[in-house]
Amino acid sequence: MTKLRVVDNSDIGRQAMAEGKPPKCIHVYNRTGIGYIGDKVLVAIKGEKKRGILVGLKQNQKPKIPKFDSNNIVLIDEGGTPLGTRIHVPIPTILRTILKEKTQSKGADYTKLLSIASRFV
Amino acid sequence: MLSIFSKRPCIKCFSETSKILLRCSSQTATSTIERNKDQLKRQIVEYRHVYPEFLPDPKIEYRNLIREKLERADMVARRTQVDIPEFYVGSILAVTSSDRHNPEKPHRFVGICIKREYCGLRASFIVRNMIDHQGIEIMYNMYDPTIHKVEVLRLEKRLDDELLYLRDALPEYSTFDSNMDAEILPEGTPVPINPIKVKLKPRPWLERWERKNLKGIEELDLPERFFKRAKELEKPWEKYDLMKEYMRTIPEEEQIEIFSEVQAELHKLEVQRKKMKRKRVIVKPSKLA
Amino acid sequence: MNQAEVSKLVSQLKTTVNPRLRKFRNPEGPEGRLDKLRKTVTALIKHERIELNYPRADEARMYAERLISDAIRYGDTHKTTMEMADYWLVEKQLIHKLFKVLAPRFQNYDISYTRLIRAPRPYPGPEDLKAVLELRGNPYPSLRPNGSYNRNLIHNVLLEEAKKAYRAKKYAEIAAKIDAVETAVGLNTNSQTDVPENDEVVAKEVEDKSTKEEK
Repeated sequence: MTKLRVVDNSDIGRQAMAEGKPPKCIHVYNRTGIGYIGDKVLVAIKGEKKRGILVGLKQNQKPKIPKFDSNNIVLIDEGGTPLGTRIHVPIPTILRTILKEKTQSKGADYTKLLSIASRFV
Repeated sequence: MLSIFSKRPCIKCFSETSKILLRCSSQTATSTIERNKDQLKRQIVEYRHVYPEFLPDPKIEYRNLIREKLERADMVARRTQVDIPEFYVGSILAVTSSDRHNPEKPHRFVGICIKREYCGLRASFIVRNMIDHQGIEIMYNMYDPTIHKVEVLRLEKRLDDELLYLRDALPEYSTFDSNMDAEILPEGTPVPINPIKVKLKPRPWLERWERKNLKGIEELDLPERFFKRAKELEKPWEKYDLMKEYMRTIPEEEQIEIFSEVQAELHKLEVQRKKMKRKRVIVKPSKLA
Repeated sequence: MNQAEVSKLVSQLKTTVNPRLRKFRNPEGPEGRLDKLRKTVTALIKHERIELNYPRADEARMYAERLISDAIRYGDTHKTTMEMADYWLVEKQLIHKLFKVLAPRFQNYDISYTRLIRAPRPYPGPEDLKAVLELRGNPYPSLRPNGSYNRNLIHNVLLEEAKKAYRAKKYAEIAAKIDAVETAVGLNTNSQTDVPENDEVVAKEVEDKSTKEEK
C-alpha cells in the first residue's frame, strides 16, 4: 500500500493531492508484484480505482537513470491515454524505450504519456 | 673457527667507514637531493585527495595487484579522452552524457555531488538537484564511455564526507540553477570549504541523522530520548583501534608506488587543462565586449 | 567500505598483517577487547619481553608496531598520536619512553620493531599455545640458540680432521727427535737439556693454532 504522488494535472489527481489523501498502490501489473519504472499500477484514489504508470521512483537506480525523491505516477485510462494534459515534473528518458516496448506487446498506447511531458531528465 | 667468517666484520667495518667518508665529502649535494625527493614524495601523496579512486579498496580479500594495475592504465587512457577535473563531495557539477533513449542530443545534468563511491574503473559519483520542485539524483560511473564532459561549476568542499542528508533537508539547499556559470578560482588557492549548515525537514527521515555525528546540519529539534539513544549507541573506542584504522587506509609506501606509476600522465593532463582554462579566461572578456 | 580512507597517512607495517582481527569475546564487548590489548601493549613497552598466549601476542604485536611507527612518523608534537599513546599506554610514564627511547631506537629500522617467538607450553597443563613477544634491541640475552657454530658442518669436520693430522705429524716429529736424542745420549750426555725445550715449543705452537681456530 505505497503512497504515491500524482504528477499530472488531472482533476481527480490534483484534488487528491490537494486534500492530502494521496493515492495508494493496490496492485502492480507484472509478475513480481514489485513496481519498477514504467510499470502499470492499480491505485485507490478518492474511493475510486484508477490505473497509473510509474514515472519516477525512490528506489536506487542503475547508473544514469534518475532516482526521485518521491514515487510518481501519471494516471491513465484503459486505453493508455493519460487523464491529464500536462506532467509538471521531469520524467526519465528511459520511459521512451520502456513505454514503446510495452505499447507493442500490450496493445494499449502508452506513448501518449510522453507527449504531455514537460521535461525529461 | 672459520677464517672466512671472521673476516666478514672487517669488510663491513671498512664499507661503513668508506660510506661515512663519502657522506662527509658530498654531504651538501646528497642533502639537497634528499630534500627534493622528500618534496616529490609529499607532492605524490597529495594526489590521494584529488584522485581517490586510483587507490584500491584496502580490504585484503579484494586486492589483486595485476587487476589494479590494468585498471589504472585504463583509467589514465580514459582520462586522456575525456577531461575529468578535480572535484569533491559538495562541488557543483555539470555532467554531459549521451543518452541511448534520446539519441538526438546529449543530456546535461547540473547538481551538487553528494557522494563518491568505489575505486578503480567502478568509481562513481551521485549528483543531486531539484528540478521543478522534484528532487532528482543521478549516479554516474566516472569512467563511463558515454560521458562527454564533466564541468565543475563551483569547486568547494563541505563539512562532511557524504551529503546524503540533503535528501531530508529543505529543498532550497539542493536547488541549483541549471544555467549556472562556472566560477573560476584563482590559481594556487586551496579548495575552499563551505561551512554552510543545512536545516533538515521534520521527521520522518530516511536515516537517523542524529546518530551520524554530522557537522553540516543545524541543531536538530528532537525529543531528548533520541539524543539519549544516540549517545548509547556511540562507539567512542573505535577511533583508538589502530589496526582498524590501518585496514581502512592504504599505507604511504604503497600510495607512492601507485601514484608514481601514473603521475607523469596525470601531470601532463593537468598542464593541458590549465592551458585550456587560460584560453577560456582570455576568451571571456572579448565575448562581453 | 569501498574506497580507501585518505584523511590520515600511515606508514606500512613491517610485519604481516592478519586479514581480519580477532574478536577476544568478553562481557565488555569490543571495548573490552581493546582494553585487554592495551594492557598487553603497555606490558610489552614496559618490560620489553613478555610471555603470553599466542593469539593475544599476535594481535598485540600489530598494535604495538602501529603505535611505534606512528610515534616515529609524527613525533610527540602531533596531537592525535599523543592521544593514541595516552590511550594505549596505561602507565603514563611509558609515554616518555615511547617517544624518547623507542622512537629514536627504531628510527632507522628496516625490519619489524618486535619479535614473536613461539614458546613451549607447560605439560601437563592447559593446551593454550604460548608465545614470547619482545621488542628488538632489548637488553636481555637472546632467546634463540647461537647457530653460528656447528661442528657437523662439512668445513668444520674437515678442519677438525686437518687439526688431528697436523698434531699427529707434529707428535711423530717429536718422537723422532726424542729417538734421535736418546741414541745420541749414549755418545754425548751434555745434549740432554735440548729435549724438554724443543718439546715445550711444539706444544705451545699446537695450542696457539687450536685457540685461533676456535675463534
